[in-house]
Order: sequence, then C-alpha cells, then structure tokens
Amino acid sequence: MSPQVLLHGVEVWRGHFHLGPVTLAIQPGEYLVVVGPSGAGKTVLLETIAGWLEPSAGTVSLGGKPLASVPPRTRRCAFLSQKLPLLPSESFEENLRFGVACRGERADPKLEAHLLEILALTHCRGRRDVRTLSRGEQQRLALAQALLTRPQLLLLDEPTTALDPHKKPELWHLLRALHREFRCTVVHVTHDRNEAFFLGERIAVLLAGKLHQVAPPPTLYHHPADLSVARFFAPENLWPIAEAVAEGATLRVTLASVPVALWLPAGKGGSFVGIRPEEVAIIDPQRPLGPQVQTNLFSAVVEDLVFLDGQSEATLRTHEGLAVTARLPLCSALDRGLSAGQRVTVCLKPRSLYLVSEKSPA
Amino acid sequence: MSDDAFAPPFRRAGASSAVVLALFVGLLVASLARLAVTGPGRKPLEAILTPLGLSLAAAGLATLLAALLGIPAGLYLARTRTPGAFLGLLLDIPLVLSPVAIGTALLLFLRDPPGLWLEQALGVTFRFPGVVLAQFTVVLALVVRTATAAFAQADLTWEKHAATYGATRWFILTRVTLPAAKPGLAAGLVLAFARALGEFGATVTVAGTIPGRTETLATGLYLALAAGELRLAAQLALVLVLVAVVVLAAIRRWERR
Repeated sequence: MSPQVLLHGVEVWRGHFHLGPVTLAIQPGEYLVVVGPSGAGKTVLLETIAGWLEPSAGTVSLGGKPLASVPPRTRRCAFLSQKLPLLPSESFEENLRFGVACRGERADPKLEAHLLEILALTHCRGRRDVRTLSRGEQQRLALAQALLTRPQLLLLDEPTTALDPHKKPELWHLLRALHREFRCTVVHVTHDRNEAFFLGERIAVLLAGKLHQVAPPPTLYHHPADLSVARFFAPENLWPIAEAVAEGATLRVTLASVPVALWLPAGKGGSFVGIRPEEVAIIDPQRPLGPQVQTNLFSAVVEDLVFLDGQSEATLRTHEGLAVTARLPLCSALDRGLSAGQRVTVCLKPRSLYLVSEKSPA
Repeated sequence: MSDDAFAPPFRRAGASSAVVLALFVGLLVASLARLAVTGPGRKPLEAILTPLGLSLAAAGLATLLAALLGIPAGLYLARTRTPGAFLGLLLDIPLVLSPVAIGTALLLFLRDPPGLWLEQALGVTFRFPGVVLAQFTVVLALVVRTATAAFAQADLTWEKHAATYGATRWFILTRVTLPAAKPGLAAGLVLAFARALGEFGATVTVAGTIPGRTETLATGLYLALAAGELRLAAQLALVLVLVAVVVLAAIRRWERR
C-alpha cells in the first residue's frame, strides 16, 4: 500500500524558523498525532501538507503524485486550522455546508443529520450567528463541516486547545469514534502528550523543527529515541552515565553524579539512563519481593509528597544521594500511608530502565 | 456611561470641549436654518430640486464608477507587497491635492489624446459627464484607500480554507472575500458618495455651473451666494447638511456591525 501522504526531505523557512528536513510517510486510514512543544513547527508542518506553505526543499506527495499537481478539489482534504473555517457572517446551516458548497456539491441530508446527531449539534440548528456558539460547539461544527465533504485526509491543528480542560476528553472520545467510523487519514497536531497517547496510532515527535521519532505509543513510552524525546515526555529521572559494562545478558551502568550502579537488560547503548516516574516502584515492606523487584533496590527517604488529581507524586532521595521522582496511584499511596520523612525501599526495575543518547540516532 | 470605576484623566475638561464643539456645529446649522426659512428672495422649489437631482445622479454615477474600478484595485493593493507601495502612493495623490488643481489637470488632460478622445466621444467639459468625471477623480482615491483597508483587515484564512476544500476563484471572491470586507466597503462607498455630493473645486473647474446642466448643490450654492441670493444659498446648504446626516448615520450603522 503506498502512503497517502509522503514528505521527503521537506524543509520550510518561516522568517528565522526552519522546519526539517522532514521525511514522513502517512498511511491511508492512519491516525497520526504530531506532538511537540509550542514553536516546534507543528502548524508549519500541517500547513505544508495542506499546501498553504511551499517547501524550500524536498517534496510533498499525495497518493504518489506531487501535491502541486493534484488540484485541490481532487485532494479531498479538510483542514481545521486553529482559526476555524467558520464564517461569522453566515448562519449555522450555511457554515455546516460551507465545505460541500466550496466543492460545488450538495450536502447529503442523511449524512448531515447523522453528523449533527453524533456531534450533539442538533440543538444549534437555525442559529443565525455562529459566533454565539460555545467554543466546543464551534469546534464540533467545524468537524461536521469537514466530515460532510467526506474527506480522505483530515488535518487537525490543536483542536482541543481552546476547550476547557474537562471538555478535552469528550472531544478525544469523539475523534476516536469518528475516525473508526469514517476511516479517513488524520494528521492531528497537539502539544498535549496525553492527547497524543489517547489518539495516536502512531505519534511523531517534533522538537525545534526536527522530527525526532515516529512510533506507536508503547514504543515511545518504553524506548524514547533520544534524550530530547525522553525529556519531552518525562523530564524526571534522567541521569548521565559514567561507565557501562556488559555482564552477559545484563548491562551494569554507573551514574556520573552519584555513586550508584544500575543493572538493566543489555541492548542499545546510550549516555543517559532514565525511568518514567510511573515505573518507579515503592516496595511494601510487608510483602515478599517478586522476581521483578529484586535488583536495583535502594533505601530512600520521602522528601516531599504532592497530592495530585488521582495520583501522588513522591520526591525520594536514596541513601547514596540519588533524587528519584515516583508517581503512583493516589489509592496505593493512601493504602500504605506514605508520608513525607518516611523511610522506604524503592526499586528501579531493570526492564523499566531505558538508555538514551543525546543525539538522535537518525 | 460605563460602570467602570476608573475615570479617564481630564474627563471633565474633555466633556466640556466636546459640548462646546457640538454647540458650535449646532449654531452653524441653526443659522443656516433660520436664513433658509426667513431670508429674503423666495425662489421656486425647482431651484433646489434640480441641482439636488443632478447632484444625486452625478455623485451616484461617480461612486459607481469609482467602486467598479477602485474595489478591484484595493483588493490587489491589500494583497500585494512589492509593487503596491508606489502604486498606492500614486493613487493617493488626488486625496491630498486641492480639488481645483485636480480640475485644472483634468481640463488639460482633455485637450490632448488620450483625454481628447474622451472629450470627443462624450463631450465632457461644461457638460454633465464633466461633473461625473471630476467627482470620480476626486473620490477614486478615497474608494481605493477604504477598500484596501477593508480587504487588508479581512482574514485570509477563510479564503485558504475555501481553496483547500476545492472552491473556484469566483466562489471564493463572492462567498468569502467580498462578504468579509462588506462593512468596510460599504462605509467607504457611502463616504465617497458624500464627498462627491459636496465636491466643488474640481466640478466647477471642469464643468462650470450651468443651471439645469451642470449645476450641483455645491456649485449652485456658490453661485447663489455670489449673486446675493442668501435664502437660496442657505436652503441649498441645509440640503447638503441633511444628506450629510443621513450618510453619517448610515456609516455608524455599518461600523457597529
């Protein structure tokens, strides 16, 4: 199957900002999330795919043909930029059918009714001014407008940014359901890591104009490609390595900052060793140690304990002086009566540890 | 009045100056009105209606012409960076030039080709087309300027979205570009119409003021004043005031939208 969108060595200049070179293949029907901090070039990338920006180098192709040679009408592309394609001078219905009208077609009444139903917009019918809709309703109307054109490629630029935090998961679920039903290719740009993990079949990490890693969520979680990617997803618990010695199937790494040695399965090398805060295990002294938690055990003191929404974040310091951040479900922190100043045993499980290098391997 | 607890500085001084200025303008209009009703030398109604009709026709035609040529130019200038600056400067000249100078330039322009061809085809000098041409030249810059501003303000994103969906250029122009600039365009055209109605210098230089043929409200007013017909002069001026009030009210309505 040839990719629906193929970027090959694409470079774009916007003033002083430079994107690329980006090489990326997006498969038909895929949900790809491009994640990165603000200013990473996510919108530039999306606008390049939409044909709004011309690359200074490289090629963008759509279904195997150069983008510029495919007339917009046959591209079947819908782009919901951060500024939504809603015309303030027009009514709800006119805006809903704006996409199909642009294509010189008539809206399919069955599809229209279905979209209004699943997007919970039926009550907005007959509104004269779309500016009176809530931000969430506007976002859903723009989605309905786009889907009414039966796009093959849907580009979404930060669709949840303007929504209240508690409204975001609602739209995530909706986007997931819509993608399952319409099976169009989606390229979704966001700075929200949770959103990326929730929606992305693959996630592309864009940092400072460079594509660092494109991978399914589990790979990204367990094997970040380099230090920047690891820092973007979890800046905690990343330590420089002084020495790494292979001992059979295991690797023994000595940290540079504190006299601590860690064992982990031998694999690819790296100059930093890290562990996600959710993977740090605080051992219950009452229970016997399972096979997973018999190596990399440290005695530590809880220096600080923060009560989060559903989670507890503990700042631990081991006997050797290593600072470790642990995040555990709130209930388990409450169950074992975790408190600041308490002595605990922590385990940095070998299979949870990962090695990364400063430079991207690509 | 706002509910804001913060009072801007020198509020009272500002308020009094606004009141004094309003009073001044009010007195000007009142003195016109008094003379228009009580002044000596009563004239038949046609003395007002004929120049009024001619004024409305000429100003309407001049505005229409300026719209047809100025709006596309404004669209171009709003969307272009490089050649726009010089072109814009050239088009702005009539805006700051004395109307009599514009009239003089027009008269000279009509003496040689290509202006002469226009003169031969339409018969411009001291005729009705001359009135329209003079007013058109004066208000063209105004239309181009306001149209440029209106198009520059409108968001390009909508046009890009329409193009991404696959819209034709005509569809984008009529459904997206023009509606987005409509309030600014409408205000600009009304302003141009008002300016054309009150135009004196260029009109009188190119077309003179021949009753029934080229006499407009503004030139007729001058003629009446020169002939010592104060009552008629005041009446004509008052009609101009009325038209100005209607125009200003219309602009305010559009601006509020």
